[in-house]
Amino acid sequence: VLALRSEAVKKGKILPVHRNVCNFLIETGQSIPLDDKHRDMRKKLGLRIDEASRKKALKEVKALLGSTGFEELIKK
Amino acid sequence: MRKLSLFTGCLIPNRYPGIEKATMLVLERIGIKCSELKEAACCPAPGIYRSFDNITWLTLASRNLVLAEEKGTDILTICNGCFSSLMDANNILKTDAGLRNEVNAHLQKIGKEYRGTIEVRHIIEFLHTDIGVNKLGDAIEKPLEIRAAVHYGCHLLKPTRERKLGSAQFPVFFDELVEATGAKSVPYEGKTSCCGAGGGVRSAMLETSFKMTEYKLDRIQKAGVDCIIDTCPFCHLQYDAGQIELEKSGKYYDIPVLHFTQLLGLALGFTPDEVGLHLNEIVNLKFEEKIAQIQKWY
Repeated sequence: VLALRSEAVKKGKILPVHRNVCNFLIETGQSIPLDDKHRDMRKKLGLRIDEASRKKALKEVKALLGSTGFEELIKK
Repeated sequence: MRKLSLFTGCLIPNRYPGIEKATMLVLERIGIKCSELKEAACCPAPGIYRSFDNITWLTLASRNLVLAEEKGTDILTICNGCFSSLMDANNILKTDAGLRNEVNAHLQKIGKEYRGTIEVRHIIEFLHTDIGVNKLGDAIEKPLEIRAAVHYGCHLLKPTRERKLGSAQFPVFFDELVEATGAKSVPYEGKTSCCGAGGGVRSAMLETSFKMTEYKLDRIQKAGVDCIIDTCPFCHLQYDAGQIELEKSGKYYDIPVLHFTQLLGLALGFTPDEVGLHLNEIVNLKFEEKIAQIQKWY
């Protein structure tokens, strides 16, 4: 199943919803990005948001996604 | 005991932060030192990325593993999907030199190298194996006399050969932890079947995914429980937000959904708000009153 799905992706056969999830990863380093509602929830719970840590993670993830060719694969 | 770094993933900090808060509270209360894994990114989720491109999946997972290697800690996960991706990738890279070299060629571009020096743990198997049911039971301050439907989730149990946690058909370790809090784990039909969320099904085939959730919720409701206890935020989302969706088709459940760390938090004396139950979609005030009454007795 994994191999079949991988072959389909190579041919550009990706459902729009799955492509969206992949784009979240490319743009934020996370598959489910933080939104304002949940940012507020975190503050109310006293949970910090380490922006510097997230920024560094994104920079490295982007470099790796470029290196493996994933970004190009998703944009096909 | 080896040092641990907490890997929270995407869904918990960004959709269910109450689970993160509860986890931090209970780990501190029972004396487990566990620091945040800074600079971590998506695990990445096994359902989509592993099937889309194996090398990308391995490379991103290995970056998270390397962060822990650099700290000299094991990784503690509180999500079945993160556990699956990180544990499976770790096992593959430890044993397949070809893939390890390929991944390291990518990692080299960000100045990192995977060495294979750490282990990936899931909080349920960690608590069961390293702390133990009896010791956890001794720490309980407010034994919760409630009836719970335990949901293991697929990635915690399977593949059984990799997980080494016993039977995937009739598992007991999670039930034992739940019962250590004073709750009764109530048997129900279809207990080990999928919640309907995983494998990219929720995002791609929402209606089918909710049919699976409805199947589970019907049987859980029939068993007569106070709450559902899970150990994965994706299952959590499916049961919690899924109940709201199913209300549109006339199905009414109103069953509170708790991650195990939230249940443990209540049994340790934290309030429902402190463990973030008020941030769920399903907020059942009768359940919260019952917990408050139990907590007052002790």
